Amino acid sequence: MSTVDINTLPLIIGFALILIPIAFSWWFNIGIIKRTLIASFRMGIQLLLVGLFLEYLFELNNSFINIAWLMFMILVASVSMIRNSDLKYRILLFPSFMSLAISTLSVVFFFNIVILNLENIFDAKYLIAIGGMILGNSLRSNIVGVSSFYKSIKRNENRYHYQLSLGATRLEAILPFFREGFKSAVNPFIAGMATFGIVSIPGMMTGQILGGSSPMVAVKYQITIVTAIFVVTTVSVILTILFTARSSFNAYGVLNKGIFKN
Amino acid sequence: MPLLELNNVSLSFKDQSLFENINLSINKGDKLVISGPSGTGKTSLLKLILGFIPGFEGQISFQNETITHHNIWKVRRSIGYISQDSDIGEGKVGQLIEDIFSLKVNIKLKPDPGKIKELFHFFRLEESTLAKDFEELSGGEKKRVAIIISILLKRDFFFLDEITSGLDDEVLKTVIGYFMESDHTAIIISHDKEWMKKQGVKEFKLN
Repeated sequence: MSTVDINTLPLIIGFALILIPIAFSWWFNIGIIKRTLIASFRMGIQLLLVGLFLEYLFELNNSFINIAWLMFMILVASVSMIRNSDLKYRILLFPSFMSLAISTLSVVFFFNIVILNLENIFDAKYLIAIGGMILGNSLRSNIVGVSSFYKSIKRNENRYHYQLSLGATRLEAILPFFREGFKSAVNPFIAGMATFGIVSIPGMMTGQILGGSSPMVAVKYQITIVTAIFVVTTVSVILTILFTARSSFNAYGVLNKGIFKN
Repeated sequence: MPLLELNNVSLSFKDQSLFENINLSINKGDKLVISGPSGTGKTSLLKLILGFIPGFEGQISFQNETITHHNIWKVRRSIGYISQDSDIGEGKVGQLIEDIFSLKVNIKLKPDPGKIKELFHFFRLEESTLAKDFEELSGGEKKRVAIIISILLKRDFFFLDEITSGLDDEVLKTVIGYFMESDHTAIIISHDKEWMKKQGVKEFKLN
């Protein structure tokens, strides 16, 4: 049960394949060479550093450090969510963090306790790997959902005010925008879910099969993980919108435009 | 006792004053036309009373109570607001109306279909409009749908922001007649001289 290691030279050769998109970019003058270079070097260096760090973390396998690392990952995810939604940290970081933490932690522990029946539910291999997987996958949907929610209220301000003037409570007035944001957040996921296995072999399955698991074991993990990701996605999108709404609307129910960057 | 009272209300955007020290007193049954060139804050004045614009100076009272974030919800429920921007919703017109009467405070007001059709006839809208997409209606049709909704909501105090633009002469007279020849209270923003021809209309100029 060992995967073939990749040696230094082949790793460099593999990484050098990046020259192909760069050559095309140069040839067609697409203008993404600098960004491609920066992004790919960041990708390489970040992953190498995380690799070193995780080797150490897995070796140590201390429950407190594991949970602290997961919390740190959740914090970084919330920062990334707000930055990519063009919103301000000061008002929205805390509610977003709470939403991601509640949804991710409850599902990860449910997974570790009920489904895997682990002896140590804080085991780095499960807590960090599975937690990271769930978090990373629900992050994109959260960004789409939250930014679409706030942008559409801002864009359709007149409709929103009209709802309030009709006698809608704040919750009733945000509901149509909430539905829209929620739908745009989960739609791509639902579409992707239907093609799993045939169009795409998910990364986790690939990893497990390379790691020596039988395809059936990998598939069973995949089914439960995808479901877990879907649950965390829906719960966190709902919670993020509800939690941030408390501070992004004033007492009159009007959207506080100060939440937007610029 | 005035229904609505504004005391020294001022509003500025980014250090630029829009209007200063407005004093207004509106009694039940009053019809007040707010006139003035564009950009003088007529629409903002209405939005401000409805609590949609934060950060103004002065005091506004409704039925002798200062408007705060506690009672603004009640104030909104008492006013039929028809905005200048007729982008008020989407979907089928019939569904749009139905959704409005599914809001908690409006459930009891749910109109019977006969009443809706009657109002559609009165304001010269085809019954088939109910099955059309709201966003595909003309500007004038959207305005009339909004007017009908505010009437169905049984409000008796109206904020009418340029509701006659885009209406042909005959419909325009019907609309103006409806609001002026009743005991409703109304604040009207309009460039249309037709409103001013009615008896007992007051005018307030913003410069």
